[in-house]
Amino acid sequence: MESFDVVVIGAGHAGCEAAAAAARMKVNTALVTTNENSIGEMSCNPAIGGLGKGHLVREIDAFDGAMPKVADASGIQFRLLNRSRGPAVRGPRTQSDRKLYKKYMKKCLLSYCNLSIFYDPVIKFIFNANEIIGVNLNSGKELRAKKIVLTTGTFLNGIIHIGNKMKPGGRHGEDPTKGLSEQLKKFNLNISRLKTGTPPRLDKRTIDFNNLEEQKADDKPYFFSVDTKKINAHQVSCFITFTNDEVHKIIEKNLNRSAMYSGNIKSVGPRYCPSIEDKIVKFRDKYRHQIFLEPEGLDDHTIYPNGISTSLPADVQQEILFKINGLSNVKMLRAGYAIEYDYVDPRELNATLELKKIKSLFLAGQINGTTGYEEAAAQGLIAGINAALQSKNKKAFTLDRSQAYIGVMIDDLITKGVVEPYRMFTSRAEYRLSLRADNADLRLSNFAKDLGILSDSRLKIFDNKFQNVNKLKVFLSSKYLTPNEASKHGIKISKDGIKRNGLQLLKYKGVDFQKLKPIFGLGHFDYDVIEQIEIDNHYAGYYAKQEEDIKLFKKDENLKIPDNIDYSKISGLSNEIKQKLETIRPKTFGQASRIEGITPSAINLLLIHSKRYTFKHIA
Amino acid sequence: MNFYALSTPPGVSGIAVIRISGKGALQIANQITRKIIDQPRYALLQPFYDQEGELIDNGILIWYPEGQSYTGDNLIEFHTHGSTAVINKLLSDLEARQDCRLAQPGEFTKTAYQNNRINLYEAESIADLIQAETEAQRIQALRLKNSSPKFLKWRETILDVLSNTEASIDFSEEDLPTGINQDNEKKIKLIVSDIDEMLDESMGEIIRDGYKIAIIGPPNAGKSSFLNLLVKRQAAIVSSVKGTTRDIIEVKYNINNYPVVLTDTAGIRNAKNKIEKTGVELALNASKEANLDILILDGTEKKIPKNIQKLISDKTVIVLNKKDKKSFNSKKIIKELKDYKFKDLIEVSIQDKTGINKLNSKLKKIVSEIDSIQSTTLISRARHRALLKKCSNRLHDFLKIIKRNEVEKAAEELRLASNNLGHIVGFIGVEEILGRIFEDFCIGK
Repeated sequence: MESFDVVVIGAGHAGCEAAAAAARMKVNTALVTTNENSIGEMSCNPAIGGLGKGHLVREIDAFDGAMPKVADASGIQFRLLNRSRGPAVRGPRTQSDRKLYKKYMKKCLLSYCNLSIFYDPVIKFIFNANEIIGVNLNSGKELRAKKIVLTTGTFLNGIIHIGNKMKPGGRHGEDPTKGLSEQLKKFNLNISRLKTGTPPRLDKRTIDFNNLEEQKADDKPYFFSVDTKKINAHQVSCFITFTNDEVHKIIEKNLNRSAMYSGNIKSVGPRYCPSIEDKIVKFRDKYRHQIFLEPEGLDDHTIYPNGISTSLPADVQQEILFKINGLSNVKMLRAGYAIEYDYVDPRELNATLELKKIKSLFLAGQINGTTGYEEAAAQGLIAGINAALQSKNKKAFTLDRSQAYIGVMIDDLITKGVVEPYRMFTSRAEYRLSLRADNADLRLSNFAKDLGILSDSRLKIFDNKFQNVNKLKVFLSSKYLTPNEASKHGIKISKDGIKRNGLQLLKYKGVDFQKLKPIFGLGHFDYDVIEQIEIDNHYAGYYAKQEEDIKLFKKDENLKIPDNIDYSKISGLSNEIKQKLETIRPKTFGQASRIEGITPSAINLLLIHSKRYTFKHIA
Repeated sequence: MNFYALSTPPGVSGIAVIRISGKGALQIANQITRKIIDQPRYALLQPFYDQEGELIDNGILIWYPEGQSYTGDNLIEFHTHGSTAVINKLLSDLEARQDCRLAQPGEFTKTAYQNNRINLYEAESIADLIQAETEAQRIQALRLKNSSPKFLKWRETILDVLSNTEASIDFSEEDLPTGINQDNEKKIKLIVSDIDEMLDESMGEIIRDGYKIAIIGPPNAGKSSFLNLLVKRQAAIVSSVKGTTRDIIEVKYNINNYPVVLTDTAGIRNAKNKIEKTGVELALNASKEANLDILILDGTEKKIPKNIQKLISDKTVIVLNKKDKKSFNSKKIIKELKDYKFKDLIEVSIQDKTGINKLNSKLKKIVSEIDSIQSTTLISRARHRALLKKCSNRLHDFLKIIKRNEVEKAAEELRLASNNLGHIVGFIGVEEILGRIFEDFCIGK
């Protein structure tokens, strides 16, 4: 029997990040997974980042996390999405080489001397009353742990559907995890089913790319990690093709053979990442749908056709592929499938991602009803940090909606629950203009510093940038031009006799740092420092407008609801609302007011009640 | 806890209404009537008894069941004879009960709000309704109450456009239905013009605070006599000495059920002493703030003094006084007024009251014009006005920014705009909800 401070179960994106975070928090950590090959597996598309998701990866990087560095090292096509839009909604993304990703992730994990990896599946949890204290492994080994992070992805009672064929599986070619879900259910956890899917895989050598639109990598890559200075892997292109009328007809004809439409699958899939069957049924007016042909790796012939995830029978999948431009001779390496799996209602969780009903057990990733590698990793980070903190009896660490996308996501999960797999979007963040991918380090690395989770080299990089941004700000705000002086330099401002400082001048058209540099005799500053000043200036007006909203938000967030409040005692609340409050047990009035179906008047009653309550208890 | 209150004004009246709200209200009513009441929303003629079994009164009882009442809880109305003795007897009987207490000011409405029967905006409108002194104020308060769906509808539309805008940020165009962003600008433009129209009218505030009429003119033209005549009492001191009125005299008055504030002012001339000078300044100010000026001129004079000419505008009703005097000659003055724009001109004699009826009906007509504007919603609270103003600004900015295709900034404007509207109907920070609204309520509502 071995003992650890933190044991992480599962080595997918949530598990790797949780284990790495706990290790960086300097506690003894174990990572348990089925086999060596499963570390950092990208079960679906071979890409990291995207809109909203890229923000999450940059935020993980502010904590010196694993995913950003590994994604950069294995990146084979860096693209900044929404480049034509404002900086707040741009999303860094890269195609990643699947094998390289696994290789670098493993290397990263092995670099922590206080992290042990076990290739030995968990078969049973060990509980002491309502606290988890360890796990039994397949080999007969027993691990004891102060805290456990569970990241099972789609493996909990996973069932794979291809057409009308069903077979248990956690991922293509891998067995599901059974029995654990049943152990959890004994604690009265609300466990239900979700569905997700993946497209068929194609052999690159049988595709005719000649008539297809090519999508190249950006000339200047936008990296996830501030540590990354240059491209590590060779850059390749993706290609774009489309479905067509013939394809749609075949699908329509075979709809009843699709697992989702035959009634075999009853659970809900992601609206935002629909199967090709769904797209054709729900968007009948679209005469074609886009497909990105994405390479899975440099020394790999596999192509991932992004946009046609499906649960049709294999023969129909092949039939469809033949009708698509460029794919008339394509060899299907394996069929697409839909997968159903167990997830735990995330309203069972605290903001630390610890279960309310089972002490010391943290959940992260798809088991909480999310979809996406980035969402999983971000949860892994928070669960790993908090498991480590708790194992040392230290104060919990959480982020709120005004601080990070991570905070937005976790608040959404634990407050609203999920009805479909949860994916990050920039529109979920109400303070989007200040929560940007480009300033993730400046927003969050101070927290990371306080946690002691940053490596020395990272600490230096951060402190340096922080100081330089402030230095440049001070410089610019102390240098002035009169309207006449400005016009001599070709800057047009109204001749009102009012002097303007450097920051104010940056607001004028055609004025940037490079323009002001010689005028004010400014020294050298790195691009990422200058970028911060320019972008902040771009949104400055909105910070002021938002200030009132953020103040209001913070005020409600600081208004704590007494921990042992008895909702059944509040007269005037409907039973439905009482029940909702009882399940979620919100920590603050802010959180309570965000619960779906909670009216302003219910909040009002709650406020009156807890004031009375607090008063009574003080008096 | 059940609470009760007298809902009609205290004192002797035809009937009085006492209401009880709460889970146990029906039980209390059963005890008072010594019957089991099982017919909801039905006017029952019943004897009312006190706890000793002594008859209090015969009256009407109506039971509004939970979910169908004003407060949302069980609500009982006792309609008794409006005698002080009966009212006091019933109230003291209720007071003596363990399960009943006197309502706090506004508690009925507050409970309705808490039970989600009404929203914040409606609650505020009801507060106005209760305080309405005139018929016009009452109608306005009712209109306000009914216009809350308008704010909600605007908010829905803004959220609609916002989600379209967000979709174009978070998804590639390929994945979106075609043309979802086509009508966005049009939709917002419609809302902006509605809101701006609403903001344009100061009428809502006029009805709430009263229509302001300033009585101005040169000294000794008969301004104070006119005021006294209009309000039918000696509100201002009158004498033939020039400059008798030095301070502002404000009189609340009611024209055709519209609340009017009449302001009598000092005669306007080049005053020499300091006190009179201040009086003239006050007069000029009153005229500036007024919704209508009544300019009283002496019809026996041949000229309009220069400093008076400056005051004539399209909100001026000119009253030519002293028609009873032989030297009265309106032609010259009318000729002089040829180049001026003004609202109306009437020849009167305040002395023998000729032309006063005509003037009165003119004033009625002018003041009633407020009503024609009332076809749209009015904003009567500074809080609503400020929020609507902010909302309008945000939407104007949205229209500008969307032209430059700065989508994420445009979305931000919409988000802030919808927040502003949300704050009007009660989606606001939780602490603000408490206390700020219900302090205006009187007991029993």
